[in-house]
Amino acid sequence: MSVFGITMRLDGGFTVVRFSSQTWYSDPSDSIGVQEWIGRISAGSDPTFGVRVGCVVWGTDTVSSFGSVELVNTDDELSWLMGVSAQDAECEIFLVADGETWDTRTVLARCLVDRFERDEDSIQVFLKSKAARLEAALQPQTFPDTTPNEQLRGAPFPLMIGRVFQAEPALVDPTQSSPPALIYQAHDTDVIQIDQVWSGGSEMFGPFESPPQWDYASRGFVTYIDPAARVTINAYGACIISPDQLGGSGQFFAPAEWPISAQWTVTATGSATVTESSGIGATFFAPIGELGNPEIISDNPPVNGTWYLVQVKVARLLSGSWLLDMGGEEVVIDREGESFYVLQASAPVRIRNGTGAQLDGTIAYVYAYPFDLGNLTPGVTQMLYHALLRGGFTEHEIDVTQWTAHPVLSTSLTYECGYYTRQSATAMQLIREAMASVTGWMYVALDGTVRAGTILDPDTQTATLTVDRVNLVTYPRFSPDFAPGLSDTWAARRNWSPYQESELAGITYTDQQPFMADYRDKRRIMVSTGDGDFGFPFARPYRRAVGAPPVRTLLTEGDDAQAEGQRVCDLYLKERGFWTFSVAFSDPSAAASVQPGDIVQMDPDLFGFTTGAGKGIVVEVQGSFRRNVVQLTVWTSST
Amino acid sequence: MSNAVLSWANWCFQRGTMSVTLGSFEAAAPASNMLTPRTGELAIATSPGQTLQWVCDIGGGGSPQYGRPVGLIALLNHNIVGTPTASNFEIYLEDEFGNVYLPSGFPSNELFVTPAGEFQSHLFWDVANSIAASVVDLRKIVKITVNIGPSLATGRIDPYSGDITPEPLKIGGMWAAPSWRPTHGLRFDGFAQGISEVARGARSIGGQFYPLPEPRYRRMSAEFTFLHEREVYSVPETQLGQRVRPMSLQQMASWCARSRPLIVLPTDTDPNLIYTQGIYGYLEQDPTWAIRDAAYDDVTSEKERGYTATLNVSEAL
Repeated sequence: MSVFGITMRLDGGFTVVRFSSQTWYSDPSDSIGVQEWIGRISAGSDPTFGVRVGCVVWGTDTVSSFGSVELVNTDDELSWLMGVSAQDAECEIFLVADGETWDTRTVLARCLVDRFERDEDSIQVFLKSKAARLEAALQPQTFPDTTPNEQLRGAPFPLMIGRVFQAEPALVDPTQSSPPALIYQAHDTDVIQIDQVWSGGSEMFGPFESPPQWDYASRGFVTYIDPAARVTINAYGACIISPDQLGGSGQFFAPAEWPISAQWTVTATGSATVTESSGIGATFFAPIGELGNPEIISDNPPVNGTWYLVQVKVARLLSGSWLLDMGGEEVVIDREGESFYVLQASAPVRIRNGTGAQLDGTIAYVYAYPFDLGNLTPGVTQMLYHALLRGGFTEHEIDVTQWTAHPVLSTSLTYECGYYTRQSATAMQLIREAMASVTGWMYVALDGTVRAGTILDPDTQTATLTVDRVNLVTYPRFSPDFAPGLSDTWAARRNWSPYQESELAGITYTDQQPFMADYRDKRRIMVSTGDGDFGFPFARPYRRAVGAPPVRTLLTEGDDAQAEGQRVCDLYLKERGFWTFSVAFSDPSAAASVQPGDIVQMDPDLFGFTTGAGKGIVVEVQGSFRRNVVQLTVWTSST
Repeated sequence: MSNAVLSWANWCFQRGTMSVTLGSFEAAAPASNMLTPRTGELAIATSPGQTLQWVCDIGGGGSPQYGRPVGLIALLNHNIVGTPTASNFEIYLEDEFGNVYLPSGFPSNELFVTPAGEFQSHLFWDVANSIAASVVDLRKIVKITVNIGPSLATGRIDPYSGDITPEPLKIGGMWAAPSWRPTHGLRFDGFAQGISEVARGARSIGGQFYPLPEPRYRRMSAEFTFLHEREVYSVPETQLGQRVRPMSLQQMASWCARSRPLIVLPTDTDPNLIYTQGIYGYLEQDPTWAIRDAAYDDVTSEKERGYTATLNVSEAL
């Protein structure tokens, strides 16, 4: 007889509402004291959850789903909820068994509220995965109306993450007026390093050559000559962040559920309400109330010269904008949701009204993460971490240790990679491409943390769940894995903006070839068959993968692509498929604990496996929070 | 079972206002939670062992006040596990004429039979049967005051070992309503009680059952063996210059139907049975009654029609 409860932080976190299957109270000894969960969740309300992970070989994406919770509203006492800002509100679903308290509860899920819907006697709370945040624009900043190059006005800033080749920067100022140079922008903050600047197939002299033809500038570089052809660069993008680069343990705040308090100083008159923060170098968290005209400045000074990733969440913005700076360049905060800014500090964080008129908005919090540019290594982990931060995830929601403990990802996520775009991409798109490079998936687990996995040989792993007649509540169903995305060729070192032959007039035909390729490295996965023939001996259903279009990766090194390709192709020496079945557990919390990537041992007799086989990777979990049965789909060999 | 008592139309839920005059309750579980029909919504004292006093005003709070008839008082879903004494548990009643009833010790300690620990524990006090009419006018009650002394033990009790885990006082509801005692009460051989659960679970292909325990609640069913016609339909009478109807089955049916709570005490002669059999809940079916036979009325000695009716109640949580 567990109590099923839900806690929602509405209205930017300022309104906390609590409901449960039967009215329940936390204990005075709990960390939150006595709070009331009103018994409004209807008896028939059984919200569903589901996640199916996909990977490039299967040709499927990762998809998460949540159902809805029905609140009883026969007395109209909950109708006020319809007037509260609920979209994307953080939400926790939990179970409390007899004798348990709030501090010892079992958290079933941390997710988001999608919307409320109401009829005459109930309110439906529709839920969604935190992964929905990742559908936000990866690059929310756009070129202003004052940009000299009219073509760029309103276009997204370029985004460069990791190591890229032949990336075409944006020509911001083609006028050569002031200074007498062409200004190019390659990222939304400074790039770490530019190895080459190309004009067609001709390389320009760098800042340490004589005479220099280009030099570093804010967010990119300038050229002192008028190039004869389209300009591209080989470079390292900036602000790839992970705990390893954050210094020390990489922890800047206790990964508590909700941020801790600290302090800011209001330095002008106005209607600011600043109740929390600490300082730069630790966490500072500031729910700032109706911020009118005043400035607020962090009390704790930063380390001057250090780079900081400043994460700002705007809970509500009805009019106006803020300006954010750390003593140098000011950036504009003019959108709701999460935004990220990389700033070099010479003063404490300052946020002020950027409109000159009345500003009506609320900032939910501000974090500042100092990091060491010198430690940057553009591995897949760093790219994923960066994409997640831009997607609105905070450090305590990203469980990197789960990635690095993975038997395969621990290696493949260290492969060097790169990404560049000038389009309106989403964080999810970047994550999808990054995980395709390591034949894996990334998803937001029910507990709200980001987890990752990859296909691997399940028979070499240790099973955490055994299924047989004792706990199967449906007979299993098999469907084959056709692996439509499989290939024996893996591509790396992408040219992000290949040249046409007409753009390469200054170099020879043979020298032109690498500049026109889409990927400079395409590795064939081959084995010697002993009779002089080479080809990969896929299991029969996968022979069409020989010579198929290459698997496109973000990896920069051909050897890494070859290693990953070899690993994956080896898995398809056997026929593979998916088993689907439903399993019963002792209670709902045990059922909800099964995650994609878990290894399942299936009863050989029931499933028809040969001795030594019968393990599978969970790739899909479908269930509901108030039932102790989940439907699983596992990827395995067919016999 | 001629001593059955039924009570409905709780003034506390309808018009009560709550004020705490001694001690304090948790902000998230205030004393006003006693004014909802949902007994799971608790008023929780901020600490165990504190002196508490709260007043439930059902008289409208103005001047003059308008008292209401009260026949049954109840504290619903309480966690009192100690034996009350005159010094640590008192319920005062005040009528609209200023008369106050101050009990010298609570009428019956057995009313506080140790909670089983698995069900909600209710205190039912049949005041109509225990207070002399000359002390306080039970037809015109305006205030109910509850005093809790620091020595009154409150908490959770293990139903098997009897071990007590002290907790602050918790009470889920306060009841002060008229009561009805039909002449012939409930029928012995039609009386039944039990426990219900909306049980769910799954069975594996190997036959193993995986249960999903759900909240349990008490149920009772009984029959009114013979209700006089005046008990079913009632006849208007004049009391204190106001036209009122005596309580009746039809009045109960029209007030409660299936969406307002009532209290049923199958018998009020044994305090233990009041505690164990008394139920606070909702009618499970739309109330109906049927003519059974004609009989001579006990009061008028005139021949009149008699009625039977069934009563099925599920405990409200």
